[in-house]
Amino acid sequence: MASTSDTQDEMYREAATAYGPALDRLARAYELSVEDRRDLLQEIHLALWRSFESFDGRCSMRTWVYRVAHNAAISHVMRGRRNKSRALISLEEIEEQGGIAAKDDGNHSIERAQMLEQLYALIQHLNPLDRQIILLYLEGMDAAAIGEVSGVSSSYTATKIHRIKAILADRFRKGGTHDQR
Amino acid sequence: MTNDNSHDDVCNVWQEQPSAPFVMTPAELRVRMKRLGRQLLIRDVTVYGVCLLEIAVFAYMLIVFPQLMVRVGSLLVILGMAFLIAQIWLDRRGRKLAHADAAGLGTTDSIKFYRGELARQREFHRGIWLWSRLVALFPGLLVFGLAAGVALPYPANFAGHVVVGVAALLCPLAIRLNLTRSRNYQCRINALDRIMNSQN
Repeated sequence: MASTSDTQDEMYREAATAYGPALDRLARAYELSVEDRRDLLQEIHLALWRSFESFDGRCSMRTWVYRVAHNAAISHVMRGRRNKSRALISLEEIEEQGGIAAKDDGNHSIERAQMLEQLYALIQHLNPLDRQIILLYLEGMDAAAIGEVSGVSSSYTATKIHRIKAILADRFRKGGTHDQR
Repeated sequence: MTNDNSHDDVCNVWQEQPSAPFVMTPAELRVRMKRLGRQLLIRDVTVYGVCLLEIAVFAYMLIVFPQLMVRVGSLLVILGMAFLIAQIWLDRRGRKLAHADAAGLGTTDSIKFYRGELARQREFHRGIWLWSRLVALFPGLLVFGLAAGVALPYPANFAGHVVVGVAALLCPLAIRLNLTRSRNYQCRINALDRIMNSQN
């Protein structure tokens, strides 16, 4: 019979293999510097491994992994926030401002790298809740699944996703015009 | 590219980012846990060490200087530092308990978790935590500084005046900074409460 420790290790391995790339992207979205990102990623993996000691299967492994990862990231941000003066804002405020200024607004052929750069610039300015919603949306989760992880209602999440889509459409409109030619 | 396609495109670009596979082995995880514990221990020892050093310095002054007010000031500083050590210990214990609750990370919705973190930070910057820190630190320093400035010869009296000046300057600044921070945390908590209440 497998011991609790073996089961914990096995579940961690399974989760890290299945969701490793998503956790990596999450860490990148929270920390721009390579060193800080590496620290955060290790912190998330450690929290994940420890959490599996008491995983009882009441929610799916995906929900569990994302909850642990985002909560660990929130803790990380809160610890660092004391020393950072930049204010975090909501999607609504970004929409009102017409988006975070992109570095290359005049360029009509937005390359993938530029698109990613702009996405990161957008995400870095968001408060933790909106950041979580946009990250889970980008990972391909629907409103109900996002609501399960974040604890907000599906309708609230759907409204946020609608805003995200509007902001992204506005942001990448120039790229769209180029593609239609 | 239509709008709908552009959303898929953005999600695809996001998900197709190159990423190096990252899985820690159980041995690495346990080593990391130990290292984390060691780092916390070093931090605690440093903080307690500084407090104890200050206690030792003022205990020395308590013994060496015969002037009553200097002794009262020294005693107040010593009591204040002891109180501060107890407060730091309680705060650390709270953090360790929160850290030990790894399951909480998986069972708590992110919005509640985030609210809890904000509330913890807010409490640190207001109410009993803030005022007890100030009461622990400043009265002793003020009494000691004033007494040293009046009763002791140069250069100890000059140092006493400096202590009073610095304490008088720092105290209102510390109050203002802490209250501003707690207000900022409260605003963020209110915003989360509005979201949670709108769902009920």
